[in-house]
Amino acid sequence: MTDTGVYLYAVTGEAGRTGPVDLTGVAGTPVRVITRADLVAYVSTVPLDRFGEEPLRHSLEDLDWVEETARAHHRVVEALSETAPTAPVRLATVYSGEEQVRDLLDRRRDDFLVVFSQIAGRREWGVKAYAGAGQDAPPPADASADETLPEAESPGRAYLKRRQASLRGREERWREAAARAEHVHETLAAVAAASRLHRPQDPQLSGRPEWMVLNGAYLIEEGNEGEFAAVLDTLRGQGLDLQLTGPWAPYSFITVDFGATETETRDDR
Amino acid sequence: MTADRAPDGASDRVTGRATGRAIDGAIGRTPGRMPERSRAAPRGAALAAEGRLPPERVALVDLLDRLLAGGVVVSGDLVLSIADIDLVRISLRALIMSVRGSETTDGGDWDEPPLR
Repeated sequence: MTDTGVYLYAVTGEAGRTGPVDLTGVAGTPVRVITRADLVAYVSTVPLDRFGEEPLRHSLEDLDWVEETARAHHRVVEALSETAPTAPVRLATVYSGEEQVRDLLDRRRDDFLVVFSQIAGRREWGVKAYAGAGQDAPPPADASADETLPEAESPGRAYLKRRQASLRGREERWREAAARAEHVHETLAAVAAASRLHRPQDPQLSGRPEWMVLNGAYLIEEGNEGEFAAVLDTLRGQGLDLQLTGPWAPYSFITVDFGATETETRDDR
Repeated sequence: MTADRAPDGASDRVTGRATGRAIDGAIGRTPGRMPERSRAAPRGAALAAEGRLPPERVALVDLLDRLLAGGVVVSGDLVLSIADIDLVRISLRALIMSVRGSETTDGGDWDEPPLR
């Protein structure tokens, strides 16, 4: 007999939701609901030999497991967010039993209602900006060596000068790209109900060799999506390559941290 | 040879492609998304169409940005807590290890991004 836990995907605001759910969650487990008044928690039963705290530490090092779990979690959240205000829960949140989930819904009802009021009728869009072609990387130190190398200088000294010039040029381009990114973010944020900056993705993860200079999330009223699109269009062709993702469930805009002790500020400005 | 970094063009682009492949390969299994909402305004629909291209593929790294740094945090309420695990660090390390493992170029000479 394997010990089990209750994996929590999301909480929605739906009055009177009961009955079976036609969704498959993490590790192929069926999703079911736990209902308290007008709050519904979507959960599934998971084995603790994979989802217990210690196994989780190891599982999180396993990319295949992370991807499979993240996509399953996302699939459930996506389906829910199509039909009801949905507060996604952080990946891999596991309770020891249903009673703890009911307790959460009872005690945090007001907090959830605030969350729903913030996200209802709004969707999250992502905009990533890459420094454009030609700025994708600093020039190699010897790029122009043949035509500009001052004859009188020692190779070592000449190298140092080139190196410094290269670094200055790199910093300069950084500043320009950062300033453009800032402008893009502020312009988009002005159309958004809320905005948030995620940390730029490592080129190895983004799959793009260019510098990512903006990884923003924008919470947009569904009625304002046209305006958002129009504003985004005006920002194109200004030295940054802008990539849009979404719509997302409002993952980035669930600002309530029910854990009193720690606050997630890492990705906030 | 005085270059203190890999020659730019070639190896960087190779790195990018290889990375793209690795990530793409991981993305391919995405389940389809729900159909677009019909009530979206025409402009919004165009927005959705662009954002969803290709519609059924969400980049894992974009997803992890949100799943690991967003969402309700219920650490204080958890009996079975994983709140003290740094999800972001652990999972991104797994991602990076995976990508690096699939490459022969080191691709490690990247500058810090300007916005944090």
